[in-house]
Amino acid sequence: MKWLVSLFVILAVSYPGLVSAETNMGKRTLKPSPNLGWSFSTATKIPIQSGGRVKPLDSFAREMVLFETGSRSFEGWNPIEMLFSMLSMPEAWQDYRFIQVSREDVRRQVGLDKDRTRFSPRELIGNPLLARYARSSVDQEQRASMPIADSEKSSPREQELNRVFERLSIFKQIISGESLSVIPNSNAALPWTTLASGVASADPIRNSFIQMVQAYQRGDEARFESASSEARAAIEARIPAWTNSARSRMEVEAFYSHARPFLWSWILYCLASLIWIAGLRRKRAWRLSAFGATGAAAFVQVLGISMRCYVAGRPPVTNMYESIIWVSLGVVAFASVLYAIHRQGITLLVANVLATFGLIAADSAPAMMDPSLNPLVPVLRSNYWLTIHVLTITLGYAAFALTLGLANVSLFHFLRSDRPGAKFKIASMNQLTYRAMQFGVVLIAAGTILGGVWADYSWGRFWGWDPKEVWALIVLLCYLVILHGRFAGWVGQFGFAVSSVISFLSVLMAWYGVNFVLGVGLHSYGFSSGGFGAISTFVALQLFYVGIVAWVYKRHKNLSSAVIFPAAADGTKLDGAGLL
Amino acid sequence: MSKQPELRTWGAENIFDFLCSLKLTVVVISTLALALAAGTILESLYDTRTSQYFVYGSMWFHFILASLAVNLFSVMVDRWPWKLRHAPFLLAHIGILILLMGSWLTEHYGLDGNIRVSEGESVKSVELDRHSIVLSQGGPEVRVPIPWTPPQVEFSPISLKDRGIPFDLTIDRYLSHADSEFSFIPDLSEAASRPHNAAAKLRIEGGPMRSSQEFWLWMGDAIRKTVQMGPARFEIGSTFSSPMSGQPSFSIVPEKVGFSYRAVSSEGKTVRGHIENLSPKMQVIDPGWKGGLKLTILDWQPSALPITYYRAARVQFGPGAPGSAVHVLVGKGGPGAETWLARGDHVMVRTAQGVVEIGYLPERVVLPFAVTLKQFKVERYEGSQKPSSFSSQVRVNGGPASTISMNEPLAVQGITLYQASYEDAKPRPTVSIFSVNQDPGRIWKYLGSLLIVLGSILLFAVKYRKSKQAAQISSQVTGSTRVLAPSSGGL
Repeated sequence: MKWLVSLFVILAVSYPGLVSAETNMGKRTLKPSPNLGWSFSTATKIPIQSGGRVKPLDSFAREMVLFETGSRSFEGWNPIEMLFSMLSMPEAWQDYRFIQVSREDVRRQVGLDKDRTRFSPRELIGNPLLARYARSSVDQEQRASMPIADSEKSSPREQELNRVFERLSIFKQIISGESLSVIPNSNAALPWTTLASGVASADPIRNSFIQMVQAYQRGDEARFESASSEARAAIEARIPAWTNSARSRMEVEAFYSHARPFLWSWILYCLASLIWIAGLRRKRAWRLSAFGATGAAAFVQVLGISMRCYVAGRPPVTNMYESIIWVSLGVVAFASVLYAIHRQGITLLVANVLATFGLIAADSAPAMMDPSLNPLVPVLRSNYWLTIHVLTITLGYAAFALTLGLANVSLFHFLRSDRPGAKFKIASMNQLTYRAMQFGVVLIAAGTILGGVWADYSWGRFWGWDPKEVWALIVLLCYLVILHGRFAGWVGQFGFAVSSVISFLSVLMAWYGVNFVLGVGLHSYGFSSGGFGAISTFVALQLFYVGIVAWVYKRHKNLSSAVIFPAAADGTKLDGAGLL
Repeated sequence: MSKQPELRTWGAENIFDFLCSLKLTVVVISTLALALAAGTILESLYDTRTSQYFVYGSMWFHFILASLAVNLFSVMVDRWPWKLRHAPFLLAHIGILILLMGSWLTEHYGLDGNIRVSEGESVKSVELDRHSIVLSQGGPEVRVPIPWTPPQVEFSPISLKDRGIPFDLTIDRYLSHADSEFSFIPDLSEAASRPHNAAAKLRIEGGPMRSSQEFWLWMGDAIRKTVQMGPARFEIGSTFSSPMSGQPSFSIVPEKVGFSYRAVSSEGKTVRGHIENLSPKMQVIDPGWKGGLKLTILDWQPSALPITYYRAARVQFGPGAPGSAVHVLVGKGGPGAETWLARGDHVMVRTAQGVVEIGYLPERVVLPFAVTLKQFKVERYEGSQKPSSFSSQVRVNGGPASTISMNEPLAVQGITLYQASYEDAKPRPTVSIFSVNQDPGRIWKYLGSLLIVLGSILLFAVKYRKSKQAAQISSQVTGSTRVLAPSSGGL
């Protein structure tokens, strides 16, 4: 790891700033503050080469802020302004508490204030325990022949420690200009030159950047804007094979990051859910506005997904973040189909609620589910079968998510099974659940098989017992057990609702668990960690709810003299010949 | 007992009823799901091979799949004579049967191996992921497959004699993951022609790092004759070489009885000694070096032969785990009549039936054509080291050049070559690895898949139409607006 090598440098010397030689401002010791209210609209679109692609400076700054602070927005800073603030007053940023140390055990281990999560670079660099740890990790790196080091995964605590070092190192590379690769190379195969490179010292692009930094220091917005335009134009003029479409992708990306379509989308879904709840028993006008809100939310979501696809030039599902967004849309789509057939408003309400939660989840954990657009590993690129396979299987997840939502509503009616009409409501909800499940079963079967087709096409193996494909098969088998049990009449209305809910756990395992918990197999490009607490909480709450319903339902059954629901043991096949 | 339990006779009909029962279906599907879940957890804890050994490749797992096939088959026979309304059901279920059959064909008659080619090289044989003991005595080779056995399972020795192979050889030990160890044994042969190569095992310990290290010195080869450890130089030889100035050194020389040694510090201070008998097998020497370093002579052999042996590796799974090794006995074994073989090793062994060459080698299949790698190319994402794609320019049997890249395989005479990976190297990688496949079950798997998807779509579509009809009828009859009537009989 290269950054470890540079650790001694970080820990030993103070950081040289990009413009410290050029500026006469002296050292500011004021706390930097985002008070300028500038638009930065031109600066956001300056191209920069980073992470294997050319992206707008805005995206670079956003990724930096997310990595350093662990949060999408930090104390109200516009990411791009934060970048320029760092460049123009590196000394002041040394004392600014912005570097995240998220784990309490790490803070305790190195003797940092355990009640804070963010620390200043100076605090961290000056920490003797951290320095000692850094040195010992360098030793470990040098002992490369140790076989044990390869196989032992580093613990989450060590990973966090390493991330802290990395955050320090990236901060250093930003203020020195080392990570700002903004000077295009005339040979497209070679990396761009950074602002810190000696070759760049007389380059007009570097000059423009220094102008920008100085204008920012002086608070001269007009000069900042003009220098940004100069930098942008100079860079664009020197990128080999720079096209209009590349330029417009850059603009769309800047707009996409700024507009945050998925944030608006979940707000609209949330609104739509409220209108649906309010209008469940009311007139047409309510219904129409609920449709309107749902439609608007879905429209914004589709727009957001399209922008991502356009910018990245690839299908919409390549990581956890994208898959949650896609699945949320799928839930709404299936609910619309079911609504068109059965005219049950509850379907759309359930879909709106699920989409709201899905998008909030995707939006709220950027550190775990990286929303930035990263290049794909070779096997995932430009593959027709892969796209079809992933989209199909995730739509299967969507159908099962809807199944889960509808089954939960059905369970809600069981809570009130002592009321008249409950039986009919339950039958009706279960029928909807069953329909959603049918979509899911067909799609997961087709998606799994398409995965085989892709694997056969790419690797020559139709089926290789890879955990991801095995879990997709387990999902299919779980739901097949329900369908066959229903057909045989062993699963009554209550059993059907409960098993529809429980089976979703297999979907969670296939979707989340294989990548985040098992962490093995060929689908390793999707591996990550985190979120275990949130998922476990969800599972626990869901099981608790099922438990409550079971208890209440049993009491109702015991209380009433008449059997409200004939149990399966009566031999009554509730849905006639259910499955086949 | 007054009341006897009623005895039920199980005729062919009962057995058939059981085989095509939904109960069996549900039990088989549930068992399968549980087995699969266990397999993935096992893979997560250990590795792919372990899960293959205990689950996916095991007898009991095949038994579950066979039960599923029997169940599916019986259910379809049960519906005989088939009518049009059975079509969706039949399609979906026959599809699964065909898919299972295709998988069986692949498992038994398919080819799945790897080719490793470097630029300019031509390769004709495919390496399989199975190893065998290969015996040859000039004539045709004899192969004895060695099944991969996980460390948790005891290896049962394989006696070749018992298998009708005319060599008195036994494969008595097997390590799935083996670490090699290097040592010396006394050379007991009286052959005067062989020079007596002395060996000494030393330990150096102490110093500022408080470390301890053991190593061998041996006169038999240059690498072990002089050894550099940090600033110090160690040497074994027939005469003392002149010490290098400013460098601590330690030399050891065999004498008629025992050996003598000389330690020189970086300041030029010299310590000498003579040891007649290393007893009790250990001698601590203070060489007078900086930092209070201490030397221990652990072993001394006036005439030694090097041997390599294997131990169960410290790392038993994951990418860091080493490969397997086997131990072969000639006759009853004993000194000179046993040997370790790691993957790829071969040695000559003297048996009662003459000298035979034994190898522990991957199984190979010879292709009907040769693959020549012209050039290997990696493209990277701009400004980074992340590969964006990689491809190989190959010639098959010297024919025209074609390209194999990720997701773009090459099919030759029913055999398909896939770009699997490459060996990274500086300044650029030149070794490409292809996966080679021949799959007689492919067509069946595709057909089965198609039928499954088609069948299940039809199943649900037909059901939907029926439930709608039923709903219409019930609303006509009752006048109510029931939307969701229970669907009526599918089969």
